Amino acid sequence: MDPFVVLAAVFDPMNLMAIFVGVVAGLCIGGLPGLTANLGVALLLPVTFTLDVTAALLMLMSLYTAAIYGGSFAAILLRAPGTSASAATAIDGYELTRQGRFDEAIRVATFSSVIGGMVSGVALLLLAPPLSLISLRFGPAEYFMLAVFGLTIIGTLASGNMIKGLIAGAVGLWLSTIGLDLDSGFPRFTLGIRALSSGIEFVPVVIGLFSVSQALLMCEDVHSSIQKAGPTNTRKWRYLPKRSELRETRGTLVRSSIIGVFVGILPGAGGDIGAWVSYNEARRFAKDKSQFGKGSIVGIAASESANNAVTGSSLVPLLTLGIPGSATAAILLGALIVHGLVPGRTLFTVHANITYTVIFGFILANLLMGIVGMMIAKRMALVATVPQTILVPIILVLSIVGSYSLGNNIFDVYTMLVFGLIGYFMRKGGYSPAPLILGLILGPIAETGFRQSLVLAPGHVIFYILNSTIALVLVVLTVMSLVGALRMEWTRVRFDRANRKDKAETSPNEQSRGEN
Amino acid sequence: MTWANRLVGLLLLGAVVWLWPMTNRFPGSAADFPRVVLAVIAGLAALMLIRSLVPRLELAADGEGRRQLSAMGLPLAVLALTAAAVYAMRYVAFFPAVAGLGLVLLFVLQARNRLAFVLSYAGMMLFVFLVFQQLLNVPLSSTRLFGG
Repeated sequence: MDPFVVLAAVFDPMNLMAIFVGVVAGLCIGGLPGLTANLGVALLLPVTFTLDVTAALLMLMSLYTAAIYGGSFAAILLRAPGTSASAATAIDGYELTRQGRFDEAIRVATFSSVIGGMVSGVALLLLAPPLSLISLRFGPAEYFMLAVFGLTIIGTLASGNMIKGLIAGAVGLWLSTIGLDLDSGFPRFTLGIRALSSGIEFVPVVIGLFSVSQALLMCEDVHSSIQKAGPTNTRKWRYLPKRSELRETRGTLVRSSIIGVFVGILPGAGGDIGAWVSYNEARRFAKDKSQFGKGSIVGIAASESANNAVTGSSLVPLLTLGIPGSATAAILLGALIVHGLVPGRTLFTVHANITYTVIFGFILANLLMGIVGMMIAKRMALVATVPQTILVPIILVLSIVGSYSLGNNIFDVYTMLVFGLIGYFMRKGGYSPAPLILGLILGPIAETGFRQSLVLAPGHVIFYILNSTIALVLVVLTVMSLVGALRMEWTRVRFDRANRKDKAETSPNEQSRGEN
Repeated sequence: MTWANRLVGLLLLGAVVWLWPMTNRFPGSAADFPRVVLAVIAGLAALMLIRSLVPRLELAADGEGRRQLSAMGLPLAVLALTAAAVYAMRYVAFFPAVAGLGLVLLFVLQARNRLAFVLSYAGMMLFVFLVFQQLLNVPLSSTRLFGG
């Protein structure tokens, strides 16, 4: 890597423009309750096709981190978290808004998000290159097990229901086998449809599963989101944090950023988990716990620094091993592949200039996000009240254009609509679309590893896989994640059963009370 | 949502039974991986079916959106209208079809502030025209490219 080339590339006008567009789009998408970072990245992905790979990745990553921060606006002003990662922010943020201190809440959320995001960018810079060395030791067996592990962990952790998550992942793997077999050229599962010969494209599937399904879900309650912004004050708007605010939150900022970085590296654990863990830890460490839930700026700092600290660190396993740390990172993995980059050591050797430019650009994006965020924060109350009747048609039309622009092919638009319907039913049934996307992306890697292992194995393929130390570690981790998920699910089953029992016991009592 | 889980389990098992014989025609090792995946899907679908038959193992409903079946009417209608607009694009090109879709959705979604709806929709169409058609050269106005 040449540091001068990297720095020059970061400040290239095209790349700066890409960061700016990503940040503004992310703030708007995150600020709208119901629209997520996944949806934003999926919708913006087609716009990046004609861009240079560095600008494309910068735009998408800037959108990702800005959307997580933008979620805090609606959480603070409306108590409607723009993204699930901002749910913890809503507790204290909205309380401050009710007290007429919304400027304070936004300011704390802003500098906490900026610090969290920049810490995660630095973590990405320091952790990713040494970790990528491990990928050099990967052969077919390791790649196969890596894909299995990635799917298991996302399937079990991201969806909350183990069987449903694993089913979604397995269906994604099956979808990846549709099309011409790369070895024999034989069409697999194409049902005689010529357009399926090249396989199912990733972009229409992502747009359908995340964007169209979201628009359809919004249709169910199309008039419900017209909300009024909370009371806001007319005090002079202060852009920089006060010394007292920094003093009060500095310990929490350090702790929560570290927690966020750690949670982000764990595959499957997203910004919401990071925010809640940090919020609880901040409360545990606080001298005056009674302030939490009543407008504590420490609570906002904990949640916002952690959810943004997740964004950069979730890219560590993505860039080094190809395992995304979150659902948005899974879409970014597809974006990397669409732009001709393969995760692993080559990103830090052959494509080092691109990778380091993107990482430094990501750190810059976090800074820019804070500046733009503070400038538009006052207006965000208006953006957050845009009714769903306006959002639904816009999402649908942008989804059509996005999937069509991939290859100027109408078949991709129909694919997107079909997956929109599938995604709608999946989300209604409690199936997370993230494992399906990951299955579709990791399918070719898993299949190649599996078939090469079959060829190379002198005996049974299982013994061949277990013969490798890394593959064995991945097998153990896969089993551990399954056992862990099974235990979590068993606890949930018992909890649900107890809940049902309680309800059954209380309803006859209430009935008899009513009769008396 | 026990019935839904049962239905999904049965549908997946049915799909595996339908797809498995297709793999017999795949040459060489082309069938190996799909068979492994189909076997995994069948196993998981069977687990889900079993679970749906044992009420004490069922989890509480964890899906998004409203529970009532009637709530799906409007989303499905909106999707059907969108598909119809996409179909119409091959005859009337992108922008007229999308404008028509907007007009229909204005009434179907019962937008309360019609002026805001029209202005934002027009703004979005302008954005699509400038970014996708002019900047990215996506041939949106050509009916021929849309297959017509």
